[in-house]
Amino acid sequence: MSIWFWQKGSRLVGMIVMPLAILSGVGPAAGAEQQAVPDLQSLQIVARVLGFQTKPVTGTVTLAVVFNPRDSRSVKEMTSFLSLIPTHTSAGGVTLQARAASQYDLARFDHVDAVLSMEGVDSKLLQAALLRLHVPCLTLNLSQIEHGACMVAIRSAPTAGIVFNQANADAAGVHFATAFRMMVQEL
Amino acid sequence: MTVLRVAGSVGLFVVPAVIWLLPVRSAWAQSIDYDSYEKLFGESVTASATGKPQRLSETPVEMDIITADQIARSGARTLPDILSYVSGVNVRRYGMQDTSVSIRGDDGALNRRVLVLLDGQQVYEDGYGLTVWPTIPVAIDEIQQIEVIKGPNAALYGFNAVSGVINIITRDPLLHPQNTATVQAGTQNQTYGDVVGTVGHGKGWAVRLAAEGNRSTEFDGDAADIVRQQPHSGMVSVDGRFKISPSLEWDVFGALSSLDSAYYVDLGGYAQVAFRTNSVRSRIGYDSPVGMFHLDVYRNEERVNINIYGVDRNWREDFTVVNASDLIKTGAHAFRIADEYRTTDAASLEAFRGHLGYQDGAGSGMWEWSITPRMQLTNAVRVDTLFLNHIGPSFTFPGFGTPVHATHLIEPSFNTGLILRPDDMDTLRFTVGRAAELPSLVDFGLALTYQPVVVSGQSSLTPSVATNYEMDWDRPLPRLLSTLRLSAFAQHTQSTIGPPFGSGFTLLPNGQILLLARNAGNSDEAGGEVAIKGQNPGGLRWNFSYVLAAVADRSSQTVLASIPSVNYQRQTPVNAVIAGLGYQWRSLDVDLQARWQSHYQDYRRDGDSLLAEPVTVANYLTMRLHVAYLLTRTLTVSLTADQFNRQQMPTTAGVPTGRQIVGGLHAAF
Repeated sequence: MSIWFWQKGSRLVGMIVMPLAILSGVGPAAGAEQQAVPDLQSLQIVARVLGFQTKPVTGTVTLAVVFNPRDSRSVKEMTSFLSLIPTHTSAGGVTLQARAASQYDLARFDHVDAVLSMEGVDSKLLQAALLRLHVPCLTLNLSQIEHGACMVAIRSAPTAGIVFNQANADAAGVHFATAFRMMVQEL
Repeated sequence: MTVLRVAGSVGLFVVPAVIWLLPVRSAWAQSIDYDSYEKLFGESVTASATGKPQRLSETPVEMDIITADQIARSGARTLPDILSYVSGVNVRRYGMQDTSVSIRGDDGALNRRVLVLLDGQQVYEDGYGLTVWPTIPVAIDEIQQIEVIKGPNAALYGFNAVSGVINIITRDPLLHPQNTATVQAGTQNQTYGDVVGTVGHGKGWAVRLAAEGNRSTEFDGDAADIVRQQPHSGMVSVDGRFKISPSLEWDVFGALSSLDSAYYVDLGGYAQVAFRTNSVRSRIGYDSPVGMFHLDVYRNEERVNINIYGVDRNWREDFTVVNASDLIKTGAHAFRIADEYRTTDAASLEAFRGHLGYQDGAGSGMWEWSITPRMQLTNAVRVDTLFLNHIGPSFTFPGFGTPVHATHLIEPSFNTGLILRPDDMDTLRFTVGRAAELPSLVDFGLALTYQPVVVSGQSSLTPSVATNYEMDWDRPLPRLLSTLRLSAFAQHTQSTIGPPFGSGFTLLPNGQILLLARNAGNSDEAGGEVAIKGQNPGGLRWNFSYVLAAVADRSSQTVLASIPSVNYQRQTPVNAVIAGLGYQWRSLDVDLQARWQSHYQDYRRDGDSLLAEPVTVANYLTMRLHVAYLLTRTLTVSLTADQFNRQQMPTTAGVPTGRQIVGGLHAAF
């Protein structure tokens, strides 16, 4: 089950913010804490984020869609992404060429430009692969950058959101442009 | 004062040292690619609110961003024309090339409370306290976006960012080379042309050249002295950007511009003016191990010829600014520290009896703290220390002694903003800001004699300080494919400033008439805004806004009658409504904008009595229609009808504005 970003600290926020919000006539929108789901906009965000590396990639990019074959949710998320990619793959000068990759097979991949990690992927296996590949890892699941090896968590709705883990990026030897880091939420 | 100086010096060295010790990670330089970030986040991005790149929804100020697409769709070819349909912005048009732009009221013929910048470089003119829009060295096609900050933002920009800030951002030729040309012609004998070209793109350097010219016949009207004149302006500029290394960029800029026109000055009538400006700039951006470092040095020079009472007066004004800043982000915290040195000088034996100028040293700091993902606090503070001096023969007149002398000011300013996101839909902003309007050099020390009239500034004027309290609420409305903004503010202004020509008359013991700059009383303002805008996938766009700006001047009626330029209560239209509808279908783009504003009171100087007479400008509705058709991939033909609903209409105490219909051809290679 994915956990979305803003849940962290929500109790503190609620205590301080809600009285102010109520005074302002503002209540929480129904279903505001939405679970991230694969969609075309998420893929476009993935493609654009890859262009904000200090050595930005352009053209056709091999994206390993990493999943845990023993986790049905992980397989479902991977299937959803792969069904989207064949027809809508380009954004920001980057064309995504996706390859499904079991978490157990990722270590054997010779060349990928980026990793898109699904729910339930084992963080140790992922970390080992990233240390070898030195490529960015993106995910829809915040827990994978909070407690795992991935470095960029994205969401597309209701507004675009990006959370970044600098330590994980450093560990994998991946660097993003300063302006990008300034504009995203950093753990 | 000494304590402050020492504190400033200590801060200069200690703060960077402390920041050095923070766990900052190195990064690499990259210009802000506005287009790419806008597509990534689905909203505009800016660095004008705090000096830090951020999404528009995360800025701790109320800000509107007018994108290049919106500018193109407006059909406007001048900056004030673009701004005239932005909510909260009032544009007074006194002539074809004479406009005054104010934000949230406190209007005047020469608006001195809005700081205008081009890529962060001041184009506001300190000498008279105004922005001469046609001399801003930018072609419309070069503009990436125009950022309009409503409310004070002096902690970042210093003096005169009181009612708001307008920062015009140009395209980065390294990222977006452009080769365009536009020609237009229409009623009022209007001829307009601009050309923009870029060389060197893709080689680690790029140089953009731009030129623009604009000529027309003045509006018809009863101000016989300016009818049938032909105001004209022009500019050329060169902007070179060099990527010296992955972490080092250098931007060098130079420009010349000019304007010849009648200009409605605070005297309450037209004066013939000629402005000749030049500016040079060097800006270095370096992604250092301790953050993003910028060193910005620029110099603007302006030669002014102004004819008042039939007498020509000339002066040369220049100012040089050196600004160094460092911006770092570490986890949930971002810091920006900056030091700025500014020297301003106006030279004229006939207007200033020599040299009048000041040196201003300022230190500033900004701290942005993401307390939680839903709560962000930004604090910024700046302290300016200014030394005013005069070199030349002293200026005296009976009963007042020597009004111009050396003086010293220390002026703090701050901005605090709390952003709350109670859920994924709503954004609330609570802000408090303090900013100071600095008397212009004319206010500080003009020294003119038109027998039997003496016009004088005085150095003992105090800056006018405004404190603003504000709350904004932004919310997307998914079912309506729109976004909603509600804002409310209250502002208190101390000691408004009346310029010499706008401050009434005093009879001197020797029979001469004295026009003397002076401080007036306080002024309070409250207002707000309701704005909604959206678009659907079918190409339909819409916008609607209502703005309230209610000013209450605290000066006595006697003072306000004698200093009409600070009678903000009467000069500000209380209500303004803007509504627009646009549609794109294949190669056709149609945009219709309408603006209604309630009545206000301008003033006009009576030619015989020389007294300022109030002129009530009735409420009016003005509409603009723009139709553009893409003929080929590179060629667009357009027709713009401004104020098409009325042939002629009084919108100020000057000449009535007339209907304008302009056809154009735009080529993008």
